[in-house]
Amino acid sequence: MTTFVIRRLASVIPVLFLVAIFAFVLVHLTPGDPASYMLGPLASEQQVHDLREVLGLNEPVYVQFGRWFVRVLHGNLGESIFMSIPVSLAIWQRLEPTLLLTLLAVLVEVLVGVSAGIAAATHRNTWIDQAIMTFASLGLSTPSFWLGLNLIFLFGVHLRLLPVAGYVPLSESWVGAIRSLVMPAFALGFISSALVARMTRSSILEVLSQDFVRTARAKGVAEKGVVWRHAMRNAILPVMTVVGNSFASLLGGLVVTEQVFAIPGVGLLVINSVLHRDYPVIQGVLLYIVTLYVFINVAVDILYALADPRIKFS
Amino acid sequence: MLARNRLGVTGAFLLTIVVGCAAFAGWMGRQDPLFVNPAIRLRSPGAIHWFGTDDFGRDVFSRVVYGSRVSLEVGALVVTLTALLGVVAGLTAGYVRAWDNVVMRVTDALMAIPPALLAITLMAALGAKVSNVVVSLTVAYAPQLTRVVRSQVLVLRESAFAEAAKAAGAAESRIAFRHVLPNTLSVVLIQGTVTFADAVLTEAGLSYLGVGEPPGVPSWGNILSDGRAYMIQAPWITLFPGLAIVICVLGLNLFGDGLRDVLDPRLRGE
Repeated sequence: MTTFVIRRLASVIPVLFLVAIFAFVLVHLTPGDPASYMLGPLASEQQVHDLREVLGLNEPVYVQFGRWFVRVLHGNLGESIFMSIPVSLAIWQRLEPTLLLTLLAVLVEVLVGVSAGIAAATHRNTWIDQAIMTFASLGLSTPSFWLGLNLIFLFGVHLRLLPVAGYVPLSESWVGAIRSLVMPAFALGFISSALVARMTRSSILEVLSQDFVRTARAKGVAEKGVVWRHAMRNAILPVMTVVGNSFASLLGGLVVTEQVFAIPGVGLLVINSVLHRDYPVIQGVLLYIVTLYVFINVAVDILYALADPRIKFS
Repeated sequence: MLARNRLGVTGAFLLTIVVGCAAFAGWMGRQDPLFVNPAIRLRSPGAIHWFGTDDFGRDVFSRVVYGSRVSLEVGALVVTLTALLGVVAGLTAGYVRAWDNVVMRVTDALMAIPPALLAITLMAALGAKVSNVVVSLTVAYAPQLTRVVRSQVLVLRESAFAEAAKAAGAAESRIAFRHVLPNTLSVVLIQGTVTFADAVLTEAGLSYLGVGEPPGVPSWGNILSDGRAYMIQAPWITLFPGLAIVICVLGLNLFGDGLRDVLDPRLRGE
């Protein structure tokens, strides 16, 4: 087990290294001179010259990469051009709503997805099953931002149940914070919950067809006990992998969801930096989100190995 | 066989609607999607303007119909490029050991970046142009297809028919191109439909965020982002393009499910 954990952690290193190269190359993909591109057409020659110095653009590319990479390894993501504060501080300031939103979205995803999947599997081939699976197909095909806009229209504007947009920090009121994140979390989590529902359903159906389930039924275990004590425990593993993978769409979807609901989080930071061509911030957030995503998946894999002793990882 | 698959038929039906709109946009969209007429701004849906008008007095129905062109063009280009890249990279990775490592590490890294974020950051560097949307989405989705093709190649090259061809004296390259490659096409087709659906969704998201097609282009994402400010007075501007996205993506997803059932019975749920 320890070897597995160490190996799994080590496998992260080449991935993050290549992602760092990608983040670095990003700036050099800009058409023309990155410095004048970032500063826009109104910048003076002196400003462009200074920014080229700051960014080290006068050095050979590999020297630039080496310097930048060593700095990043020391946790220094550089300074935002537009906001004139360190990138790590910019991310830190916006971390609370983003982490809380991701957490709530995963909660929605798992609660809605798993219960819908169980309901569909236990009512297999009835109208309940069909309704849930149709709903899941619809969910997979709905853009999260459009779902968000409709939620705002319905619950924010018409029913006036929830705040239309914005975020109340936890330090002010935790009820307010959660109230402001209910709709975005639902918009973000609902789509992934469709995937979870599908996986839960097929996974439970597979387990229910196995011998030990028949044995459990034969010895007189009630259907509830069969589903919850016997089937669910075994069916949950593949579901865990789907949840782990769904962080890709959750973390990617943060950008557009935070934009729709005007939540001042890391996602909004990305889009604002893209619109201002604030490359150090884009690079920093990219590295930050990818690191988060990669380690979440390592954690899922380790949990998987812990939960299922049949699996021998080599 | 696909004709008897209920999912596949429903998907094909929805897709026909969308493709029909794209093909006959000039005839169906009765008004010019770009024609500005401030006198009739924010009109609600009615006999003349089926989907109402937007804040510039442009006909929303025409814009949504023309939007299907943008989405399908971008999606089709992304899928074609993704499939080409994926097949070439997947086949080389499956056959050439030295390349396998390189291709796998690169796909590992690209797949560690959430596709939407990858596309957004690439658009930031390349600039808002339709061709750049295609490039960004291709980079974001090609790794998945490469992986699928590679794993299929690894299975196929060890299969009995490849062995038989070898025994009959066929060269390795002939087996690769004449026997293994054609047999990967079903997974390419299935994964391609999924990629098409994802590309349409992500493209809409990009242009909604203002980093996709340049403003003014009647893409579904652009119409949605234009309508956002008028959601309370004119909810139809955001309602219809959203429904169009759902119909298009649902059609692709269902069609893909149908294809999977027909082409790959092993993957069938039960």
